[in-house]
Amino acid sequence: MSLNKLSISYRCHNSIGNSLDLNEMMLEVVKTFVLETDAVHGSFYSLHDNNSCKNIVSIGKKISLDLFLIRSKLEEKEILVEKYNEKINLLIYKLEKGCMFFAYDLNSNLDFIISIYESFKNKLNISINSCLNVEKLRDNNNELLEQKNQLEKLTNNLKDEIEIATKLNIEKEKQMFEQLKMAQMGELIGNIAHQWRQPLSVISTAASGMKIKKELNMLTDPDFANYSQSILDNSLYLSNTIDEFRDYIKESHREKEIVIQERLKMAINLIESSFTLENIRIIQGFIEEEDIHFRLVLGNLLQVLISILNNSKDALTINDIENKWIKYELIKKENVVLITIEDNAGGIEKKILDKIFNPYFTTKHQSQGTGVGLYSGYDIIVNKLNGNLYVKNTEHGAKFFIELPLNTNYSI
Amino acid sequence: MYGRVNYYTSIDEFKKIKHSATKTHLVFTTEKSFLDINELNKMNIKLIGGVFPTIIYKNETYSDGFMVFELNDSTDILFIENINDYNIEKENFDGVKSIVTILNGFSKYNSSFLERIFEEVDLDTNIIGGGAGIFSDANREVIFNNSGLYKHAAFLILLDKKIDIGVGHGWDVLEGPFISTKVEGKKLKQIDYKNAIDVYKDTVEKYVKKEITKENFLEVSKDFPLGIVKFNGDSLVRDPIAFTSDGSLILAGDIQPNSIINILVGKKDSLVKDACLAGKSASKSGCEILMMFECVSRLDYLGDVFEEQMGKIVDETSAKHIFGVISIGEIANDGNRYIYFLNKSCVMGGICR
Repeated sequence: MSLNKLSISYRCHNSIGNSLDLNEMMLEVVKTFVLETDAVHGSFYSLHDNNSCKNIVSIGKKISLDLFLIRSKLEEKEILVEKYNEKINLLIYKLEKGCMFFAYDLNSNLDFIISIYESFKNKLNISINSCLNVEKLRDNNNELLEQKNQLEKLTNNLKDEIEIATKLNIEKEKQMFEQLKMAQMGELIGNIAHQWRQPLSVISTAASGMKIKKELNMLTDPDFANYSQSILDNSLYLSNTIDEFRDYIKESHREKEIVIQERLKMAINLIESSFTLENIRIIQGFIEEEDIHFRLVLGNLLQVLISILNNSKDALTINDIENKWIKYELIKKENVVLITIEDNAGGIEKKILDKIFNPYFTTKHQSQGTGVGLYSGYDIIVNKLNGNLYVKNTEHGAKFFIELPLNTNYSI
Repeated sequence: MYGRVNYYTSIDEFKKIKHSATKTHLVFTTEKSFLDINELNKMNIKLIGGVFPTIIYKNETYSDGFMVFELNDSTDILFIENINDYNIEKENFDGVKSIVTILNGFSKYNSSFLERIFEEVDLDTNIIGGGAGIFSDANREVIFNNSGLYKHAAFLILLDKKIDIGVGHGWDVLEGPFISTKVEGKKLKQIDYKNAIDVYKDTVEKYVKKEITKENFLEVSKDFPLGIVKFNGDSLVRDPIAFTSDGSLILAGDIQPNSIINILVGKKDSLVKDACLAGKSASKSGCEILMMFECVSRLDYLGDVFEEQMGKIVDETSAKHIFGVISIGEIANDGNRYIYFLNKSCVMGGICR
């Protein structure tokens, strides 16, 4: 082999595999081949799994190629020599993952050029495969990175959505609690109206009696004292009723020390009239005599007691029970105060026993129940008072247990 | 390139003649001439040109003065202010059969620019030309138009007729082969894994029997260029123009890594013989005028023999007159092979009317 041929062969061999980037590697190979063999054009097309071709490198004169025709010819031959025009021959090399095109003057010695190609074909195929493998790895890596970014984006979006939904839920819950309170207030106003009738009647009767007796000059000093005392007693009763109601409805987070027996009595007073109307007997069970003091936000405990009492009233009414009653007790234990409210409405179905404190769970018709009353009660006792609220079925019906821890500094 | 051509010894002489205001004037001048663009602009003519080491007018060389071609209106010219940042569309070259390219021979963007032009033009378009430049000051702006002088500039004269091209150099192998084992653009860092300058010095000093120093490097190296071995058995000649403290040789043209190279030596006879062969190729269609782009180092080497070379070319070809320049690098491509920026070569072009 002459020196110039040896030189070309050496240069071409040395241009292969100097980079793992396909474009960079093939640019060097094609350019070296073009320069060393005096081609006027050189290009490389990569062949992809989906049978498509992609131009990776093109150097020198622009040559228009019928790739479809060339590929069909390359199925039979690895090397093609085609006349491009009156001046130019096209030399086409088939590779494992693509093909190379070179354009030469018609007088060029293609035999030698083909022999060079034959000698480096295997090395070139291996290098191209290496580049493609690296490319594939890089693509996979990029894909993974893209997926990771998308996942992070989704997580962030999800976080935002959860935050918004949580805010909406809190708002909705607040609204539901307000609605519940308003509904309970309406009912209590009915009770109060009923409670007020008798003392108002007493006041009215005392005032009328005094007036008539005065007109008839029959009003004695003892009569006046009796009538006045009766009016004062009943006015005080009315005033107390108003205070109780105000405590219940007042929007306040101010803590106040209360006596738990008094709050229980207040709750009973507030619902007593409506229970009487429904012929429900209110039975007072064991009540601890010694005053038990607590610091609470006024209204909270009342709300829980009224919710439970109303729940029992509804169960008794719906189930059409004869001799309806509820029984309440207040027992002081070692570390807790236990308030129980039991009814004789037949109890709660076993399958829903563990659901009745869930939010929006109700067995009532949509127009009657919201499913918030007991959930709200549970939230107050468990989360705000650090106590416990649960229900059990007895031989008569359902029995609610409110446990409030003793010797605890409440921060309510 | 059709039109009138004249030689003027100075701008004043050039100004004395009435020139067409509509035609483009192609001005080739020399580093020794005083080029004043403002003064030329007073003539109110269209100007494009370059500064060369020497100009060739009617078979004779002139180291000063102005050679002016008054181009016909039909001749298209593209002036590119920055060959590293330009936009040339393929449409510019529709119907173009030949391109005369003049650029700054010292610009580092020459090869990439020529490759780009080569890619854009048709398969059968010939490209010929040479590099302007001042050998003593490679950083000077040497390409100009009415707006001023530019450093990395070029202009292309687009012709609708074929120019026959001939190329020759005549350099013979002194010693080799070697391998360019470390290369960076135009910087040849290592030959056979040794500092390039050491290998070069070892070879050439034996021949010239004197030590090569910084001071005498150009004087010695012009006679001993490097030849990159090419496919067709020829050599692509590369001029060593300097060496650096890290032992690299600076060439007046690109070289690829792992190229097989020889250190060449000149014989005046063979240089003249090759130039004549180039002239014959360029005048194969019987043209009477030849354009010439001859490397400055060939002129230095040939000395007085250069005039003999011109005479021989005229004697042995159909040409009556030779016009051209002594250039810093040469360009010749007939579309049959890839384009290179040549060194130490004689490029001749023949245009038939």
